[in-house]
Amino acid sequence: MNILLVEDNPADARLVREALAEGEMSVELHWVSTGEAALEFLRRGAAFRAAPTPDLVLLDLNLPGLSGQEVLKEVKSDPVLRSIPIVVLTSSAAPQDISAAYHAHVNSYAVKPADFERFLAMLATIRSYWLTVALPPKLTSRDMEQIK
Amino acid sequence: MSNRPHHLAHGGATPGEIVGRRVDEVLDPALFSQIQPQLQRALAGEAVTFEVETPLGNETRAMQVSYVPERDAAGNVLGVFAVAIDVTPLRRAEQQVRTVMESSPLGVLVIDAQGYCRAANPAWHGIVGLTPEQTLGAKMGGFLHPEDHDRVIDERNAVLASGEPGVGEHRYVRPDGTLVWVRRHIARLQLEGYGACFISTVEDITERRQLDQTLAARTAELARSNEELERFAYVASHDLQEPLRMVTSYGQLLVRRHKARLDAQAQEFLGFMVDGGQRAQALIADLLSLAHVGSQALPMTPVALDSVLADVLRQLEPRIRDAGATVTHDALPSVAADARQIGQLLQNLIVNVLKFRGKLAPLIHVGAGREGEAWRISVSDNGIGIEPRFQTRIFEMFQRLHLRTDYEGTGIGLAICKKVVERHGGRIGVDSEPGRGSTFFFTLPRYIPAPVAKAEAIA
Repeated sequence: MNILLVEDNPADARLVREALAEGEMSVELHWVSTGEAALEFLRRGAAFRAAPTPDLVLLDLNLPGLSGQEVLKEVKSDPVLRSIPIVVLTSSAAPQDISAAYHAHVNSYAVKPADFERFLAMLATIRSYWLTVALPPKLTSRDMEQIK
Repeated sequence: MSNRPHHLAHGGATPGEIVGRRVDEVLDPALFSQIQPQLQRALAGEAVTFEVETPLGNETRAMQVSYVPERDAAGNVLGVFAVAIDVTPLRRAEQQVRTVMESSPLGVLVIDAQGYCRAANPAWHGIVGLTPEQTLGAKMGGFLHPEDHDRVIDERNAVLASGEPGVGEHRYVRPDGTLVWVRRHIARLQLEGYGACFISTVEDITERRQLDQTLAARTAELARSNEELERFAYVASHDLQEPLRMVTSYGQLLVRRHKARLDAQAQEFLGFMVDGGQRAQALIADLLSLAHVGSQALPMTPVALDSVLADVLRQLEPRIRDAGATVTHDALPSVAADARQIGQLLQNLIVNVLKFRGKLAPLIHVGAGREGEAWRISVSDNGIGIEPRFQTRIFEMFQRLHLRTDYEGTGIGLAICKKVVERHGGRIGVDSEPGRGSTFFFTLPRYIPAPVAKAEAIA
């Protein structure tokens, strides 16, 4: 399973890596720290020619430059990229942030929990759901060509 | 001079007594000297009307006298036809009105349709700082503040055209240059000899306007201050939580990954560190809840407490079941309230019972009774009770009476309850004895349906 993590705080990113490492299923975690880099990755731009299409994107909203909300809008309005599942993983529980994300067709919205134990449990649930319960969208090789 | 007196009932004498006699014989000399010039004019051919005061019995009456010359066929004046009307009641009434006007604390001003001052009372002169000599016959526009001049003239013309009275506020400029704000009621009037006129009642509102300005400034300041507090609360929640999360999470991760390398003491220290971080996070979350009582308040609407309680019990069902608790209640009234906050209030009180229970299975009863114009809601339990000396302290922020190891919680629950009740205009308190359970009670205003009272948010 390929997961793209979009997170500007290295400490937070590391927590995700540590939490995912404890799982049974093998997960390849790709990490970018800006919204621009996330779009580059998904479109297989200059620095990311060999990037795989992620099965899931974990997206923080609080990013420098291009915000998480803007990345969400861009991806969900792109005819090929919009089928990639995106889970917002952020610290804000503000109702306006939640509704704005769903309005932009986010697949689900999660708030970073207060401690590691709960973080571990949450990521295990997310991984389990998206890997085993939810069926992935099928991207054909023609779609992958169109991404360029 | 030919005199054919036709004075009728002058001074109470009968016609028989005066007909055929000379005027200067019949009348009181003082009175005669008043009328004589007028009589001369009438005899010369001019019709005249004038007023005299004449004694009648032991009173003085005001008489309006008219002399009309009588002419023969050739146009020669034969005599004078005289009519006298007792206008005393009229003059008395006028005097009363004048007294009222003179003594009125409000400025009263009469101006004609062209804008000239015809009459003004002392109060008005006081307001504008002018003397009657300066104002009588003067054009009123000259005393207005230049910025208000055109507007006031327009308002005056509108009253003239419609006949409807008007109200407005404007400034006068006093001779010394100072400004005075006035509130002016102006009405159209028909005045003898002047036609359509305006009567203005003028009230000095300079002080009131200053107070209004101060109030507006203070309100703006308060709003700004509240906004600042809101931002502070947001920063506290958002930006403070994140580093705390790092402390807690990595503390836990450290123990997880390096348990083998960490001796008992190291793990104990890390435990304290993580615990500290978690408590700080809980405190911040609770501070935010308390702040939200004021900032995320909904307006007051009619709320059926029965259904609020039902929702709360549904939410708490697992905990109630685990604690083996039983909840009973009276029929609960409708109140004017913020439904969400009242729910929070009831939930906090019930959760407290579940937390601070003794050996017995918790019994909770929610009751309602009248207390004057308000409702008194009570939540009674059979828990551990509270010592009298602590019964006020418990409503303060973060006050705890027990070790954290014995009972969990940050101590914010009752502080939130208190703030919610006070926001609704009520009061909260507790009746309790250690070992005999507690009754928490609070008052809420009755819901009074419109149109008597309007639901209004109490800040």
